[in-house]
Amino acid sequence: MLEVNKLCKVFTDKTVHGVTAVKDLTFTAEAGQIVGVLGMNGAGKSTTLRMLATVLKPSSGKAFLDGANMHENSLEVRKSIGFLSGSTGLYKRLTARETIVYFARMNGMSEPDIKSRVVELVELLKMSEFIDRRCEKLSTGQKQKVNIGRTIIHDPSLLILDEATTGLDVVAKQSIINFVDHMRSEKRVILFSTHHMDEVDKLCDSIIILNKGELIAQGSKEEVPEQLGCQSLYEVFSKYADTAEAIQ
Amino acid sequence: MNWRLIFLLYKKELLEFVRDRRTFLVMILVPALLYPGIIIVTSELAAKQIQKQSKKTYVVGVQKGFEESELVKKISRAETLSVSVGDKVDFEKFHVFIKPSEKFDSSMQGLETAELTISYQTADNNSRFAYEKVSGIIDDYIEELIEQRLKEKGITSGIIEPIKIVRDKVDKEVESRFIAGGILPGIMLVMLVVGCGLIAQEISAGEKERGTLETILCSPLSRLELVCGKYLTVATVGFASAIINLGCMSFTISNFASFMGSGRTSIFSDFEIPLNIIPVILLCLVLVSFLVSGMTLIAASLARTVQEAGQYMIPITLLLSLPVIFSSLPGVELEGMNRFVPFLNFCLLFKNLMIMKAGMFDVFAVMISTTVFALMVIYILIKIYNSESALFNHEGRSVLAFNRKSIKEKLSPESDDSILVYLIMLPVFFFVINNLQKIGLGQSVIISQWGLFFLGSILFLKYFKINLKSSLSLNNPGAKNLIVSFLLTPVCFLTVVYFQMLLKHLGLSGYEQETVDVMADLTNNYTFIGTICIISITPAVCEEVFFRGLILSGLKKGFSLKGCMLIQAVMFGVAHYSVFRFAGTAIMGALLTLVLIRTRSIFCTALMHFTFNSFSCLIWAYGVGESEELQKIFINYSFAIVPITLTGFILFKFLGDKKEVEAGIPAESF
Repeated sequence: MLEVNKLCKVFTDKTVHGVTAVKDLTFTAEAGQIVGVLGMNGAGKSTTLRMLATVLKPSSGKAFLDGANMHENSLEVRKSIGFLSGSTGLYKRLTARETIVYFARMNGMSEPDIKSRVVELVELLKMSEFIDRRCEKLSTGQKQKVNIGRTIIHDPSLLILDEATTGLDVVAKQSIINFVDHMRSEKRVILFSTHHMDEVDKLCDSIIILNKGELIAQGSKEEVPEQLGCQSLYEVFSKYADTAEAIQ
Repeated sequence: MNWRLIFLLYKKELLEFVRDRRTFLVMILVPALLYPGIIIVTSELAAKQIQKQSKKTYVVGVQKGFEESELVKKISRAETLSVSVGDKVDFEKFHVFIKPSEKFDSSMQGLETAELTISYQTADNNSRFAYEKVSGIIDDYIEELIEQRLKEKGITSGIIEPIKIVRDKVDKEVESRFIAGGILPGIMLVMLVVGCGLIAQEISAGEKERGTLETILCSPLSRLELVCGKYLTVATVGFASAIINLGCMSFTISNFASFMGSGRTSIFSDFEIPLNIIPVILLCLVLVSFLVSGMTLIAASLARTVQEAGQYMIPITLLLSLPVIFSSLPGVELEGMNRFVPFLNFCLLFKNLMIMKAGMFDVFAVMISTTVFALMVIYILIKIYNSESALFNHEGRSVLAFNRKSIKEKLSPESDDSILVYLIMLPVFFFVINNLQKIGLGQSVIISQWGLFFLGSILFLKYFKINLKSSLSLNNPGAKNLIVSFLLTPVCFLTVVYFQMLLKHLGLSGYEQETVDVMADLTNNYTFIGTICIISITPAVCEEVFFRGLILSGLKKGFSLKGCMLIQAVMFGVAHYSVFRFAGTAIMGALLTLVLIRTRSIFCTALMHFTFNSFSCLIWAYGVGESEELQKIFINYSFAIVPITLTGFILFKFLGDKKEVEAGIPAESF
């Protein structure tokens, strides 16, 4: 289970002013759930997910994964986290297999476990054709598959996917969506950030909506529009898109 | 520290680097083929050119009427010279032109010195070559004439050549090593930067650019382990690059030097590096590799792209070339403080090792100094990797963005920036003042203080768009603060004096002699006003701008009042480069920091600094400081330290607004 309690992130430029990217964010995600993290550009989604991936330190607040404080025990907790964003790259001169094995070793997996897990993932992600090819020679879709492979090699209990389908063609995107759906498990929380409502419709059990760093709604796909006085999620987005434009 | 993870990262980084074709080209092919290639090709081309020149016929113009002389007949007999008669110098027709003086014949007959003018063009290779040939023949002719005249007079040649020097170079092998010792370390250092730079760019800025940094940041690898893994990789590649270059250069010099001049004997023909110095060179090179690795990794970590990181390598290469050039200047030896100047000491040690002149102390001094600097660099690197702003290039930090367009205006620098500026300024200031002392102590103080501390601080603040008024605390102090600051100075002065006396009692008694030497030097060369300008006004302005302005304004953002005082004490003490003066200057540094934070005005600390140094000037300039009577007075009245301290405490109470200070006003309010 993931518990987020009053999480804040201020990007400090102390001399002028701090930029509050995330403010007092509190929510809970149960294992087995895929939670959609939605919001306009600059709403604080990526900052939130990076804090939960322990890449960024929160300015205040706490987050717990299965009871462990994520930022006080970050090195240990990271063994249970898989993080993938749309901008994540690969080591271009390593092969797909070397990349996945490298991250497996980083996460402290034993050599026999690595071997069997790699075989499993190659089959699952249909990577046999290019598993021993260098990453620099892979297509965008193949690269994203390798990225998913290295993200889940250690079977994390928290999987964070930040706009993971960005820039992919329809087929690659569909295979990623199917894969995330397949990853749904009783022991795993998946945080899924996207701008595509069809992906939310297909995958997410519950959603949280962020606006200017604050949580403005939380609940099921049906509850959230109601909370915000809208008919659908599309309407929610157009409402907040107009507000963002007005501010700009 | 999990060494398994560090090694895993290290292995991965090296594997990626080795698979890069550029690596092979730059690190192996270039040194292995380029050095011998350059030497063979250039020496062969030069030899062919010389051969071609020597076969060419040059036209020697001779003044009409002089063509029948014995000398011209000799010239005309030379294989590659043809004589042609002319009226005047004309380089369209002749390569050189010989014109005797009007009294040439009479002088020759009267056994006087006859004058002969040879005109040639220095900018024309043929003319110059012809001149060398002609002057060679003339020299031979002159020798013949002397011998003939001496014979006629019955005088032996010993009269005009009482001593004949026979040059016997007994250390020919050392000569080649001495010359190589001047060339090799420079090339090694440059190739070290190239090697380190290549990989540092890839594994820091390259990771950011490719988007692989986040993947490693959310793996179970701590930032310290991350730094260690990357640092070891860069150091390994840099070291390998330097070793490959050293090997290739040595091999080229010893094996291909004989090609020079197509078979002419070369001083390098029997060159080799003595085996017993190789372990020492390797050990020093490892430490230097660590230092250069840290420097390149810092620069590359601050960049956002590989291209930007490549640009940052240029100043590092230039910075490194300075000590390399300096080490090759005559008179620069591995002695005194030169032993502790990074890179310069390595170049000088290498040279000394090659001619077997380096002592154990030299080797240890170089190793310790390089290790200390390398540790400083590692500290900065760890700070950078612990800073989210540095890793993700958030806006607003001067140290992260050297591109001025991307820098936002701010009121003061960051604390990290301040420490970094100090660490850079420390060796630069030392290097400058140490070498300028040859032109005079006063000049060196003025140039280094105004040039580096004052101008350097202003330029830094202006470049990084940091508000001068705020960062330098250029605030109106008010009459009360000025008066209290002035009254505090004698209290501080006496505190420092008693502290120095305590140290003297404990056996650390170099302060007085050092101060006497400095003051004697100044008072002998300058008037009293001049001495005051050098010793009081210059530090009061320049050191205050740098230490209590630029440095402290940054420190205030990251440290508490006590922290600022402690760091300033160490910084100010170390910057005086004297073990004996460290304690006194450190106390003064801490007190001035307190005064600035209390008064929020640099004018108060400048006044204190000026008054403090003027006291010293007055006391020591006139020998009062040495006076045993004065010291006896200080000893007899040593209980005075109690009221002095109390007075200090009371006076400090009157400084600034205590409530505001205790409330911890944010730095920008100061």
